[in-house]
Amino acid sequence: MSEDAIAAEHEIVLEAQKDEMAFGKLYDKYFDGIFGFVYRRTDDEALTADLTSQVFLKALQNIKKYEYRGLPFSAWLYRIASNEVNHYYRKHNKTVIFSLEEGRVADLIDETEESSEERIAVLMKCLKEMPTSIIEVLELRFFEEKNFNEIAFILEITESGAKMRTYRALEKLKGSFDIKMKQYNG
Amino acid sequence: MTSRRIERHKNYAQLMNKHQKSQRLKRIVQWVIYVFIAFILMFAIYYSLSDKKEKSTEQQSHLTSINVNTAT
Repeated sequence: MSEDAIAAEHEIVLEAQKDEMAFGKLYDKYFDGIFGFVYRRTDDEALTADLTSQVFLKALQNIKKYEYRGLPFSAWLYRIASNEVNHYYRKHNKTVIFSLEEGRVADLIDETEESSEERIAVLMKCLKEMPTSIIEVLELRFFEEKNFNEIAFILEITESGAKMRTYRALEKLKGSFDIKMKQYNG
Repeated sequence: MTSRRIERHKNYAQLMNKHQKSQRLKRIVQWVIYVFIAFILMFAIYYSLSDKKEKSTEQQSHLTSINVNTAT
């Protein structure tokens, strides 16, 4: 998202802070993204619908407290969503799920590689062995295409911490895979 | 998941209803808290005043008893 686009979006946020009805524009823009993000962490459609609704309700209730930090508004929504999902898992004493679509996982592997199905299976196995803290960073970096600044804000960690987790995971994966360098360096 | 399927769960009107309901509830809770604080303040003022009054009447009765004693 370009700086101009972020600034233009901030105008809508300011409007929503004055008049709650303007929040509808932000709701329409980000509903699908947040729904997908929550769904990948729950793998349950009904639960995702509930949690997503809760995310937007919290955002609406706290819109006046929102502070612009040069990041897209979505980063704030993802932060609320991440907290909501974690809160749900803590409350129900369940293990966090990360469901990644095979098609999106395949994007990480070089298309020229042979027997990609097997490679995807190996990659999925590698991902399963990784701790949740690393998976969530990888997910935001590669599947949600967030930059490190946004990841740091969403997960309430430092930017260097987010980079460290990503590089550590990629170093591990690079042993078995040719991770696309464009995404690695991005 | 397809965007059409996600679209089924989109309901802005319901979100606004929930928000308005929670705002109303928040206002009621705030009002109850204010009333409660006002009651506590009123009781505190009442008791401090009545305590003062009691002390002054006690002092007065003590003085009259002394006066009575000096008269006899």
